[in-house]
Amino acid sequence: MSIATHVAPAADRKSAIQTIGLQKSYGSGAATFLALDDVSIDIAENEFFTLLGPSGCGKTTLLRLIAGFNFPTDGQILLHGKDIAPLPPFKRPINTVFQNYALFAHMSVAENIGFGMKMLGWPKEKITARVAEMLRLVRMEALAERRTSAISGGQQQRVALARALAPQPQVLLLDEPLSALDYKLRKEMQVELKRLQTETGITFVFVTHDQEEALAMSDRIAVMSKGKVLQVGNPREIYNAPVDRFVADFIGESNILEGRVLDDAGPGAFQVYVAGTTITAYGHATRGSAIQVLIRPEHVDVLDIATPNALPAEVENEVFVGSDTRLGLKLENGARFTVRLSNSPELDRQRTAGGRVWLRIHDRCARLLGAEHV
Amino acid sequence: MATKAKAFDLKAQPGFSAIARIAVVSLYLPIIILVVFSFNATSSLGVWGGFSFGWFVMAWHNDLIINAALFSLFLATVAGVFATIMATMAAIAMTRSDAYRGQTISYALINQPLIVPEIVTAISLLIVFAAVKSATGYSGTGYLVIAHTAFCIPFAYLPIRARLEGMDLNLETAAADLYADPWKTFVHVTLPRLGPGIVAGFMLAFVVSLDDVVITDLVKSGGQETLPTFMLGQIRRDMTPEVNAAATMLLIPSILLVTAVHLINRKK
Amino acid sequence: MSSLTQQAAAHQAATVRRRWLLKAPALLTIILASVGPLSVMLVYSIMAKGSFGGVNLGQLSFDGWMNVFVERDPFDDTLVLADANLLILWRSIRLALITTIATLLVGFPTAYYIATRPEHIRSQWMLLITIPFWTNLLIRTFAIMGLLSNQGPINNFLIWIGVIDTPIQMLFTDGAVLLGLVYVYLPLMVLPIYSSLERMDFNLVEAGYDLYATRLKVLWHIVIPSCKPGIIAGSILVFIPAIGAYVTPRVLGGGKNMMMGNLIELQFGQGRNWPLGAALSICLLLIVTAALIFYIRASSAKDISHGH
Repeated sequence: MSIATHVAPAADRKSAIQTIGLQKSYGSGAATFLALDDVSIDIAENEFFTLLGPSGCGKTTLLRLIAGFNFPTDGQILLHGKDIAPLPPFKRPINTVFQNYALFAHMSVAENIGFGMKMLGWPKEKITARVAEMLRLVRMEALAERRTSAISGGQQQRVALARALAPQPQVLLLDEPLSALDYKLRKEMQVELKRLQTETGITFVFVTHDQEEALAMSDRIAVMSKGKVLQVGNPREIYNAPVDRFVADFIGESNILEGRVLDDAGPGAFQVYVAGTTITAYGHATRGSAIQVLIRPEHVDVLDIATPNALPAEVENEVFVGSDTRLGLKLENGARFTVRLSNSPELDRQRTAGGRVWLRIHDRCARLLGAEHV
Repeated sequence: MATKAKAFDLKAQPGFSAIARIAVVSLYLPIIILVVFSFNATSSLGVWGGFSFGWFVMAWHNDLIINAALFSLFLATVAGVFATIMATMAAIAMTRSDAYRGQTISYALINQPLIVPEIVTAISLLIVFAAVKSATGYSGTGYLVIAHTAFCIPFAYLPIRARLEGMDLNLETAAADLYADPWKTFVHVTLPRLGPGIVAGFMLAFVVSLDDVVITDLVKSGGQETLPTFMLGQIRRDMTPEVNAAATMLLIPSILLVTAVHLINRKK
Repeated sequence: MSSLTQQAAAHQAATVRRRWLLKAPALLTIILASVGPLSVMLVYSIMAKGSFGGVNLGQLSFDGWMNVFVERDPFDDTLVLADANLLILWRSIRLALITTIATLLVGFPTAYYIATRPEHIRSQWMLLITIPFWTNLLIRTFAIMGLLSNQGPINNFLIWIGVIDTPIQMLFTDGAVLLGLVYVYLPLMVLPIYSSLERMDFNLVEAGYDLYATRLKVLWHIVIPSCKPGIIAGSILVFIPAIGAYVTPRVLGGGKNMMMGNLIELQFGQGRNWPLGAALSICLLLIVTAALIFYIRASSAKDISHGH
């Protein structure tokens, strides 16, 4: 297993949205709250770009600044290289899918979809044709004349999407659009959204706090925390090579061990001493420094005999969760460690609490983390 | 032997049901008696002398009553429309924004007519309008229209404001996102969503104007009798069921409108 | 970046301007036809009395205010208490307070009973309470007048069953005014109590019974405290119009059982003492304002205690 290298932007890559030193604060003086702190990102055309972070991290604020609903305190927002700061939202060729959909309850499904084009003054026939096309695209032809209050949540979601896509925006903003749906519908809509993005070729900027959703759908992800962008990268980079402990913790499950760098072990590789054993970890570090090592629970083999460079551990508990079994372990230095093993009937075996095992980390799967952002 | 075990009713309180029933019956009984006697065949207000439409026919042919009724409707319509338009504008300006300077004073002003005893407002209007009348020589319906509009505004304001507060702010944001400028947003999104609130506001303003007697009585000039002021003028005389008939005619639009407002609110 | 700040400031200024433009018609109308005339009233209360009604503008005098409490004896020119005014003032306060208590005693059980009905029935009951509230106050007072009059159904019924020979004089008494006020303002008590009871969590009542409280104790220790804001609001809503009542005492009290509203009107009519009438009006306004301040204090004190 190898870590995907950073995908460099292609030479013909054009940026759709660019923010430069974007800043947004509320209040003043001592009570100033910095919602966005020096955010500079570059979203390419035709990209499915996700803003990921816990609630309050500033992702929705960023989206609202791009849409034009709020004014930035400082910085620039460029659309295809042009500053759009002076434009009110109704003059920006950018549309939004709202978290609660914000459908107009006094209009039919078709009227909702046609609203933007009507406001733009498109000719009637063109609107009718485009509405029909959008209804087909989101598979809602049969419900065109329904009131939006008389359709299901999933259908409302589709109408909101169609409404935002209909006027052919250059960028589509989606503010946690799937959060109101149940699990199964959410999975379906993830596929659907991805399909729509590919078919329409429109740049999608998607906001979510659900890391699984972000990994499944995005071309690139920006992980945000406390108004800052911590890391931008494709899903593999974000998962396999998180820049710091926050990103590592937020995306997927992780074991993070405290250790010390002993020696170089080739380009980008180091001998690291953790929990009484020396292992090889990858990343950036200086010899002798204290360091954190990330090991994902699925990147470990559990052995019953002592093995060089394997971490000795004691079994604390075992939980069967269907496809996997989770082992809760305690390392030599007392640190907790979780391992996830794939189940298959022939390999299934139970371990007793207190049993001794050795953990062998997969090749190149121990990752050095940078300094933690606080 | 076995008695049927009755479940303990958690919410019941002894006697409350009887009080509630008696209260509601008492609210209606006097009005019902008043209406019943408007159909009395004799001129008694206390002894039933048989059924008759006679007093209604009489009221119908009494120009004083008919003119007063028509003027009441005219005044209620005009003041209701003015008050509703002004209240709608004010409600849009005053709801759904962060606290701003002048918010409390504006709110107090809007609701001020609700608080001041009617007789005090009526007399102060009498004083001021009398001065204006003698200064300008104008004694038309303008005085009544402006007085009624003023005390109708808080009633029209109430349901409109409630409706605005219940409205999803995102709807207007969504409209702006879909290329509607502020005016188009208002016409295509805010106004239609506000519709039921505006209708309810107008109806309440209409009913309140129709009901007013104190302010109207003191502000009116000659020939500006409304149905309530006409009825008030009848107290000192020998009352006949003709007044009951006029009252019954005045009751009908009020009850219909209030029931309509109730149904509109429930549908929301 | 200053252009951004300027842009935000311009946007803010436009919002403020738009807001005032939208509010202007409503506020101006109310100022013109309510606040303005009331200010004139305030000025009149400190002017000297005109000989044929009206005031002598520009001639400052506190006779109006003094006349509220004392008057000059026409024979020996000494100051004596203005018995008539004070009696009417006292009657107004007393009647308004009794009305408030009576509507509370009837209104609370009624509101409670309605609030404990199933939802669809509740709304029908509330419609029944609301309709009289929006029904012409004069007509409702007329209805009570018809009921109580010497030729009315009650007296006729009592004579018919032989309890009495001659009609009882019920009309034009304090009792008639009181009955009228209670009848007219009862819905104003029920509405706010109902809305706070409707929001009450009836799990609290269950918890009360679970912890050995009797029905009366549940009512006293759980139900009433949790709908206190509604009770206060209802009491204020009844007290304020009751103290300023004009039509009800005029119709049911006849000429002699006056309340403040009638006394005020009298000064501007036959009494021809405008400064006194204006001073009495301001007194009435002050009582109402005091009641309102009490209400605001009481409801905000409640907010603080439930704040955390």
